[in-house]
Amino acid sequence: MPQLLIDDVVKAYDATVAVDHVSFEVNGGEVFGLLGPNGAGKSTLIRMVMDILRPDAGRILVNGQPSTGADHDKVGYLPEERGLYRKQKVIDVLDYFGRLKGMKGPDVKAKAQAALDRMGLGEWAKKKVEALSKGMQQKVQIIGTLLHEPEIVVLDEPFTGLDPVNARVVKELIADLKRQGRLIVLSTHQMDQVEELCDRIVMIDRGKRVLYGTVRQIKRQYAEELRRTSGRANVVVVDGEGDFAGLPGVLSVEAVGGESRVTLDPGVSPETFLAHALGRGVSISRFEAAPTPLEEIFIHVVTTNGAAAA
Amino acid sequence: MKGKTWIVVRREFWGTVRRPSWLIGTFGMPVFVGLYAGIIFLIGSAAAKMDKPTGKAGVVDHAGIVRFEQGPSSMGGEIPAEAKQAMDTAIAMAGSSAGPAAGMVKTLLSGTQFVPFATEDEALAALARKEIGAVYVVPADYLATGKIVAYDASESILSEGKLAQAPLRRLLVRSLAADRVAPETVERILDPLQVKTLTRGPEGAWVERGVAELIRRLGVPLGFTMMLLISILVSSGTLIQGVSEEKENRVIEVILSSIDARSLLLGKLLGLGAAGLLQLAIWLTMALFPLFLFVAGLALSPMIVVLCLAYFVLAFLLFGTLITATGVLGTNAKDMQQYGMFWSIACAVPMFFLEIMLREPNGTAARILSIIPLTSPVTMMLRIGARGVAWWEIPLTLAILALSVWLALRFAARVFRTALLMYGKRPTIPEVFRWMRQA
Repeated sequence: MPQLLIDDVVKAYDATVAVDHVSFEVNGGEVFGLLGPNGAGKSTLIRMVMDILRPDAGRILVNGQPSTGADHDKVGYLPEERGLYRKQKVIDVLDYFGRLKGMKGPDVKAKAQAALDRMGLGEWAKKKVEALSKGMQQKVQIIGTLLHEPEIVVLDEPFTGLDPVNARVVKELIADLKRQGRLIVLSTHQMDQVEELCDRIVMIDRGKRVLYGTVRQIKRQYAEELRRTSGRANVVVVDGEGDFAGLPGVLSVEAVGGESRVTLDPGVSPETFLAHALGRGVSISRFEAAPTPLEEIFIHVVTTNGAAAA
Repeated sequence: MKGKTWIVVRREFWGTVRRPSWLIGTFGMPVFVGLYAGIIFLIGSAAAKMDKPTGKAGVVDHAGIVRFEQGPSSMGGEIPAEAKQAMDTAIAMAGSSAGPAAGMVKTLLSGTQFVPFATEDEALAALARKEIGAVYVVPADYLATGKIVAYDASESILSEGKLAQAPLRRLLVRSLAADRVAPETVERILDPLQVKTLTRGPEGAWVERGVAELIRRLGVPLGFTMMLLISILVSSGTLIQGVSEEKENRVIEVILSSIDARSLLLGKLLGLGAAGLLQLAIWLTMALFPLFLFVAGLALSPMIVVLCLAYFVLAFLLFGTLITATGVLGTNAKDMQQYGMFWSIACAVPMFFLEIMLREPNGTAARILSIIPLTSPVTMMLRIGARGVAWWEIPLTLAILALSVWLALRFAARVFRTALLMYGKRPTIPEVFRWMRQA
């Protein structure tokens, strides 16, 4: 039984169908990417998962049961439209958020203080929110999302506004949640982070599901299609000694670190390149077909889908 | 009440009553009124030293017709006992320091003592010494002309001299009629009309209704009506500010992921409403305490108080819900205030029909206004005071109001939830109705 099941969900605003018969499931212990261009229906879908909006049709099940108000406390939500009570003290805002998520007793503030300490914001606890920088506020918001130790965590663009150091802190936090067996839904436009963090993804475009599976499966599936449809060249990464540029079927060679990044002529496969190299006695200690970036797949799918819709 | 609603109630209440703006508004207003009254008191005291009322006026009678009486002459007419008692209390509280105002009231209550003088010079000398407040000269040809010359120490329109003219008129009538007309007839000439008004009572019998009775019956309903209107006006700002906070800070999505819209709305309504009512209660206690004592002294009907309180609470919840729900439709604080103002005016609509309701508390207009939820609270409070309500109308209208509060909360929660998620876009009326239909 999946921990979160989205089953044939539909949501329309007048004539606009924001979410059109979308289905997917997510399990505990995985980071699940929810992708899509702006206006694709991601936020509507997330709001339905959070029970802020109700679907017109379909089911949303949490642990096999229809999502209800009682499930509010099991979910931590960091929305894209972020905000805090600017005139209140940081610790009071976190206390309020925690209590609304079902935390009780006198130790809510103590837990909030401990979380602030862990995120390096301990000394800001009694300051008003408006005194904090945007990045600090973002971290407070993340603490508010996780303070009640939710089973399901929905993060909508969690890296927006964070510098590289704080982005790394958040990535480590997500990895930590995954290790704890939590279910994490990550919605972002930053494809490198999707590749780095997500186990599986679903992509929505114009309300419909257009991609669904593991990142590896999708990349494999679309590498061949991209070559076929857009003439995209294969790229291989090689660690070895020899004149790679002189080999047949090689378009260009670029040194990256101690390795060579070899771009092949269109139509030349990595296997053909490897056969040529070994046939000419080139020494190779490592060989890898460079994966198709998810970003290219994203753009390809959105463009193709848009052309089909037009 | 659900636990999460209570969390919102506590946050909104304590968050509001700790705000400097609330504290300044709550305690600053009575201080301001106190300072204002203090300045008037000081000026009045200074004026009193300059213009102390004497209660006397001199008369120089060249026509030889005035028959001076022992003791002061009153203004005539009937002052209700309750009003006289209240004015006595006011004078006792203010003392002579209230200056000209106290002099005026004293003259009204006690009348003027007329002192004869042989010559104008003697009278004017007494006026200069402030032994008397005015001098009246009755010329020798008074019977032919009716003209009298008055010397007034003050230019004020409420000077002792001017206020003494009514008692002087009565003195002259008595003097002219003496020995010619029977004393009872003189009294009737002076006071020919004392009306005793009878109106239909609840059982259809003709009953007498005096001023005190009217105050006793209508005082509480009118008081509650005014309190309701003031509290809605005062609280609408607090309510709208409270809900716009989440919209402006963009925190609403986090909140709605933790608590459903209806519980949030109810929590805000109760918390912010309680803060608004507390402010009103403090103002009433600090600024209008004497009025409370006065009203309490009129032996009010406990049933009227209880019923008015029930209508007040239900009306506050209904209008608070409507103000909050429509307030969030605005895209900025100014828009929100204007939407909220609409409901404040709607609540006051029955006051436009006050005269009709007092004349015909059981009439068609009053009955129709009683069953319309928006006009029901004020109408019913006024009708109860005017004794124009059949017993079954009270549970019926209370039930309609309670149902209206429930429905308003239900529909308002839908509007509230959707409107709060919209940033920077003003919804159209069809959109609002669609949100109300949608679950």
